[in-house]
Amino acid sequence: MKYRMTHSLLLLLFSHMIWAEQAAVVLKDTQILDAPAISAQAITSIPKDSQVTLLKRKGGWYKIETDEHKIGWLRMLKVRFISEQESNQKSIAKILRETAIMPPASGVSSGVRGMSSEEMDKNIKQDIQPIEFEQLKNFIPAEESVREFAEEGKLRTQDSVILPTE
Amino acid sequence: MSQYVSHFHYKFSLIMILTVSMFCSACGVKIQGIDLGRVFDAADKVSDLGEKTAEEEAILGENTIRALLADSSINSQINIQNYVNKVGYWLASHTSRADLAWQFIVLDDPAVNAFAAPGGYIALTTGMLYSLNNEAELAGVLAHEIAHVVLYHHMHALQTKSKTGLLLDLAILGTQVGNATTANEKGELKGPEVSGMFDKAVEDLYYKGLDRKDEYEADRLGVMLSAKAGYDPYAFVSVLQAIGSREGREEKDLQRFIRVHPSVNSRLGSLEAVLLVTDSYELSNRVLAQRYLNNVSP
Repeated sequence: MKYRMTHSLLLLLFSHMIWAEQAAVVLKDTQILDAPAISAQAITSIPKDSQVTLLKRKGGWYKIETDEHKIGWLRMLKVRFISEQESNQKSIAKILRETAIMPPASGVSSGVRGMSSEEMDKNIKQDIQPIEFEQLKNFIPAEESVREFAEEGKLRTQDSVILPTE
Repeated sequence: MSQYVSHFHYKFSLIMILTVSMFCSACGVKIQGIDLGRVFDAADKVSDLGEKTAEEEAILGENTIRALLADSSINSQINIQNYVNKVGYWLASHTSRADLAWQFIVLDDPAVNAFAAPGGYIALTTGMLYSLNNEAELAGVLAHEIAHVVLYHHMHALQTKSKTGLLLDLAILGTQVGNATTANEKGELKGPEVSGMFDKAVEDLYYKGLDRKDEYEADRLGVMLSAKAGYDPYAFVSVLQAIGSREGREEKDLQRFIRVHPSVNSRLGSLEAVLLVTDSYELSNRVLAQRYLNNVSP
C-alpha cells in the first residue's frame, strides 16, 4: 500500500514533466491561436517542420511553446511527436523504472534504486499464485458494479454520439 | 509443397472422420470414448458453410484465444484484471453486442501489444498498460479492440483464410469431439490434424495482422465508442502519437504492434473526419488520470 502511494505521489510530481519535455514538429504551415478553439485569434504562424514543445493537452488541442518562446494552441493532429531519444520524453513506464522504490528484503527502506519493469513484476509476483484461463471468468463484473464504476468516474453515456453500427 | 501434402492429409482425415461417423451415428458407437453419433452431428455442420451462430463464434473465440495464450502468462494482479474488465464492460455496454460474454485479459509481457479474438476476448499486455497515462487512453485502446469484435473482423478473416469456412467448422468439430469424451475436461481441440490446421490459421492471421482497412475501421468506431461512453476521444490520438514517435526504430517491445498495424500517420489521417464529427458534439471528455494511476501500478 505504502509502495503504491509513493508511486502515485511520484507520478503526480512527474506528471507535469511528462508533457513539459515532449517535443514535436508541425506537419504543415500552422497558425498558433490564443485559445483552444477554431474561432480563437492567431498569435503567430510557424512553417512546416518547425519544432515546438507541447505543454499540455485539452481535448483535441495542444498548448505549445515555439522556439521563439511564444505560447499558444494548435490542433493535435497538426503535430508529430519527436522520438523519445531526441526529446527525452518520459513515459510513465520510464519514470516508474527510474524511480521505483522497492521494499528491501530486510523490511528497512534504504532509498531509491532503479529497476526494470520486468524486475518489478518479478518482485511483486513472487508470492502470488498464477491465474489460470478458467479463472478469468471471475473477473467479469456484475452489471451493477460497472454502473457504479462509471458513476464514480462521472462517466455518462453521450446520447448525441450515434455509432455507425447502431 | 508441404502445404499441399498437409492439406491433402487434412482432407483425407476429414473424409475418414465423416465416413466412419456416417456408419456409426445411428448405433451410438464409441471409439476410445468418443461418441461418434455426436461427431456425426458436428460433421453435419461442416457441410453447412453459412453464417456462424453466436455459439459457434464463442467456441471459435475460445479456441483462438487459448491458442494465442498458449505461451503467455496471465497477470496475477487481481485489482488490475478487475479494473480493466470494468473499463471494458462499460465500453462494450454501448455497442450493438453488449450481451456478448466479453473477457478482458491482462498479460504479463513487457511488449506493447493488444489484440482481440472472436466471441469478445480482448487481451492487452502490461507493456501496453504501463505505457499509457490515463483511463481515457486505456479506453481508446480497448475500444479499438472491441470494435474488431463488433465488426467480426477476425471471424471474417479466418473464414477467408479457410476459403470455404471449413476451418471454422473444424474448430467447432474438434471441440464437440472433445466434449463427447470424458478424457477432455477443457473441451480443447482433439486430434493433431484438426488442432494443427486451426493453430496454423490463427498463428498466420495474428502474425500478419488484419487487413489495413479493418484497422482503420476499428480506429474510427473505437474513437466514436470512447466518446459515446464519456471518455475523451483524443486520448487515443495521444496513444497513437506516442507510438508513432517510436516507429522506425528497432524497439523489440513495439515490433509486434507495428508489424500488424498500418503506419501511425496514415491511421491519424483516417481519423480526421471522425474527430471532426466528435468535435461537433458537446462531450464530457473524461480523462481520469488519477483513477488510472491508482489502479495500474506495477
